[in-house]
Amino acid sequence: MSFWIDIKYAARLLLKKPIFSLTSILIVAVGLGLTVYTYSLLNNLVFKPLVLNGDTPIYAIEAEYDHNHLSRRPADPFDLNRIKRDIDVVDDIGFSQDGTALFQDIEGKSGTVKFNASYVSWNIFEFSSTQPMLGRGFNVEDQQKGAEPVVVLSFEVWRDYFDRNEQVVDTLLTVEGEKMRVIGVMPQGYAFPSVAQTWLLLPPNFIDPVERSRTSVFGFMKLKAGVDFSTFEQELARITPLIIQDIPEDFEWRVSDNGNFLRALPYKEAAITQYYSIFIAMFIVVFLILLLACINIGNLLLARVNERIKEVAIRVALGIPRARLVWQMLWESIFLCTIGGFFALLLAGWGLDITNDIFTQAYAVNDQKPFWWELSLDANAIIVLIMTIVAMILITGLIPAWRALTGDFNAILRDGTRGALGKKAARATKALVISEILLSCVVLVIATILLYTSYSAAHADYGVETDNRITARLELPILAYPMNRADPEEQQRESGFKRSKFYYQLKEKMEALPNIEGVAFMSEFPGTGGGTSFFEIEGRAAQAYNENPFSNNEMVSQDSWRVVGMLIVSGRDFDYRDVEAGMLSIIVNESIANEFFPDGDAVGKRVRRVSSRGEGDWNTIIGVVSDTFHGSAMRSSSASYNSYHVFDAFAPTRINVAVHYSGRQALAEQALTQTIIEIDSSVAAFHVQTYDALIYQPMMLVTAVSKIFLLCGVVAVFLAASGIYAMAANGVTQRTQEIGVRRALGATDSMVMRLFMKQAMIQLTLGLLLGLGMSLWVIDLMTDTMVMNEISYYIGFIAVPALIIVMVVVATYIPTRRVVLMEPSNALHHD
Amino acid sequence: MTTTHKNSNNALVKLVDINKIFFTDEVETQALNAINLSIDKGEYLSISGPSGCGKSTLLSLLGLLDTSSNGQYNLAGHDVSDLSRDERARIRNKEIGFIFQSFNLISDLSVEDNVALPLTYRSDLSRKDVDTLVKASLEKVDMAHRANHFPSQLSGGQQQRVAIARAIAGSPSIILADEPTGNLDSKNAQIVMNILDTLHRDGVTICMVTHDPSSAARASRMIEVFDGKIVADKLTNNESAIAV
Repeated sequence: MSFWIDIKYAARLLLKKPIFSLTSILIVAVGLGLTVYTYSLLNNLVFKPLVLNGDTPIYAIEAEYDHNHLSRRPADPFDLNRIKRDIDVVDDIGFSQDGTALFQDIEGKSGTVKFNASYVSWNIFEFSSTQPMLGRGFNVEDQQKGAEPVVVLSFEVWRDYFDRNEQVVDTLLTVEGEKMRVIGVMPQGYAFPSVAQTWLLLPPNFIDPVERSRTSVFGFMKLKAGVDFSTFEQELARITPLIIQDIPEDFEWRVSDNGNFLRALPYKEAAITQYYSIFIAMFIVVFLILLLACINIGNLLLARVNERIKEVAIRVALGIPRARLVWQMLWESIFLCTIGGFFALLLAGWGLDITNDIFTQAYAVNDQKPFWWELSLDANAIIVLIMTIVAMILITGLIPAWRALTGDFNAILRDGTRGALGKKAARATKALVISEILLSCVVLVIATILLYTSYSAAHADYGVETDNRITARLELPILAYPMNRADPEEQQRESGFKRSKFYYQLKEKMEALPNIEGVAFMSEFPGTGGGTSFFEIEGRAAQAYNENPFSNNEMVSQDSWRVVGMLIVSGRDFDYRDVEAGMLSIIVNESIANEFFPDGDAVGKRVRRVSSRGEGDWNTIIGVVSDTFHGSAMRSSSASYNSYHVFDAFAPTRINVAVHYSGRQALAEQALTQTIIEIDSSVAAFHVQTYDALIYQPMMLVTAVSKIFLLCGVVAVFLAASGIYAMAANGVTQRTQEIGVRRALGATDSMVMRLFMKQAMIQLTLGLLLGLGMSLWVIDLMTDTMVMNEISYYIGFIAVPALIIVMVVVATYIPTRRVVLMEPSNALHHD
Repeated sequence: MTTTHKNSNNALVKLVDINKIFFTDEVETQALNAINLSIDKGEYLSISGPSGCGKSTLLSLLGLLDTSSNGQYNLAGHDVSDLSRDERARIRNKEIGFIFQSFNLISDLSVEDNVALPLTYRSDLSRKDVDTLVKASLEKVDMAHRANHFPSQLSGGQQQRVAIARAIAGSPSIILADEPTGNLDSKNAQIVMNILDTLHRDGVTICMVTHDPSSAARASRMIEVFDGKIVADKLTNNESAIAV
């Protein structure tokens, strides 16, 4: 009965002040909504173990991460098998390589279609406890030497390309230039290990090699039931030095520069290694916003308790039990946080839907979205929401409850308070103000830096022209265009020329068309790629290989530069002379030439690659091209030093093509596709998009995260401004009587203003110092993988503190001035 | 109005036709109505009357804590009726000492700093001067031994003694006390009143609002206020309260 009275009373109080109540609910909803959203995002992408249909989490096991190129590295299956054999807690390991598979003449339609393919060990479907819905999965016999090549299709490929025809099972398709039998179709949504649309088997020697080789695969692993991952990690740490000891010199390149060898980690985490620090930064920022929201609400409720302190004193005088008094203070928090929590759920759900759309859009062209990147609110998210609501209720409710319990009610009941604010209350208010400033500073600084960085990256000059350019990825089927590094060099050159012949034929035929200005081939175009390796200048070798400068290196066709708007600044382009045997030519960009050959004499000089594994061959610089930037301006693996080799003798099976066209884009795309079919219909062109889209696609995820930070920043500004103002105003209000006393004793208006502004500046300075320090720490976490724009630091570390200073000055000046303008007698008698 | 008090030409305080009207939620309240009052230097005046009669308002006006709606106020020979806010603050600081019912000490400051507070608003005193005056003041009220304590560590009586020390530290022309014993037990009330008696004997002009007849009787002159008007103004027979 008494609870019901208290509940009704709390509801009535909230309804009496609708603006306060709505503002508080909004603050709670935004704070909680962001928290639940971020939790769901991170839980789906990173933290929730990938379990599939079993109950044992799946781990990735692979070579140590390449921090220079920000990429995962596959490991030697020989070593992975040793792990399985020698570490008892391992239940099973499977292997995979992600790639593409070219399907020809599907259902009688001409042309080649590329699908994402996972080349796997036969046990993949048992491992993931998922069997095909049609036909069968792989078995051990399929992976034996001489077995009939087989392929398994995904549900989506079966639905979209085979019209759900159940008769497709057991038919023969031309895949990668050879006949393969379709043996099964997987259930809808299944894409393990990551983005698979089809599954093919790895060659037998990949699965159980008898000796080390250059073969590399990614491993997926399960531990025995009940075994903790830390147990496996200890075993791995024990066995790793033994494995490294056994590695012959030829394979020492398997060991990373920092001495690490293999890594094992939760499967989802492996997929987002390069974004991990950004996600952690996001988690920290959202947590800080939640704290900000709690402090804001707590302060607003505290101010309300102060307004009602006499009423509270009367209740105490009438004998209210302490517990009941606390509950009365808590009911308002309960209402606000529960209603806010409901709206938070809606906001979080909406945010997740938008994020799913962003993911879909970001990976629409290359279909590289991992299958578990489907965000939704699950039971765990609801539990987190409930727990956060409870925590918020306690934090926001206990602040006013503490005030209610610690008031000197005798003095209050007799005649106002004993002079000004009590010491404890004053200290608590100061701490809250400093916290408010600190949290606001961190969130705003990080949001500003990230936003400006991603904005700059999106508008960066990569040194190329992108208008009227489309790009695509070409893939030559391996059977028709074999490439085997084990072959003698002469044979490798011959097969290389065969591949480059296709590319130059494509270029020649397309450039004969009236709407095609030029065609170029590069391993990675400017604005994409990245990753660096060290190079030595002849006669200027550094003592250690890694003290030499480093550059990005790409393979290009002849006559590529004009197509993407680059210029030959000195020397010449690649031509027939550079494809002669033994001729190793290199073109460098202006930055290398200016930095290392300032006398303008780069042409004719020699450079070579160096690494921990030794030196490469000397290359002669034959030309200098205008500067470009490979990789996103945001990635730490990007480079402004670039060098290029002509690919003719060693053309890869996969290459990027850029087409400079006039007129309509669709016609240019059509021309590309048609010309390819005319030359060789077994070749596939995919990921066809504008050059702009190619550059911006890798940034879409970080850009999307930056937009989340923008939202966080806007929320933080709102919370900070309202919170700092409310905190300052509340603090001044609580000291109204003190102001009256000071003025009664002869303090002028300016003396009182100076006093309060000085105190506010002390709190501001402390809050800003702590906030900027914490910001630096969080930013430092992210700079492993991201390059922050320099100007963004100035904006973040100067403009944001300036904004906060203005907020604090205004928030202190206005309420103080209001009290100072009161007659001293009114201030003295203020409750 | 009953008066037995002679108006003096050497008045320290002179109120002429003072009115004070409050406007609250469109309701007009006449708190003071045609108040004429003189206080001589060295006088010990008590102001009494029922609750809401305007005595605290009168004290606020005397202390320049509020402004009259009309009328004239002379303090120590100066017309202070229409001064600016800063000028009023300076006069309060130099000429007036306050003692409040609820002590109104600042809890963040020590006893010493509370007493020094009005002195720090003056530009003509060095740090050493301030320290000397504070020490002397605290000794007068027998609180020098608690100089480094904070108000929360003191009893009510001790806090009021500190408030008195603060009021007299700058040697003001007049002490205004608003129910100085209102929050004290009889023993501490006695102590505080004895201090005021001593100050008066030392020549300090005191104007005290009080409900307590025994405290009022200690003054040399009693004023009764009713409905915003002075209805009685008479000398007491208190031989110890002799105007200087």
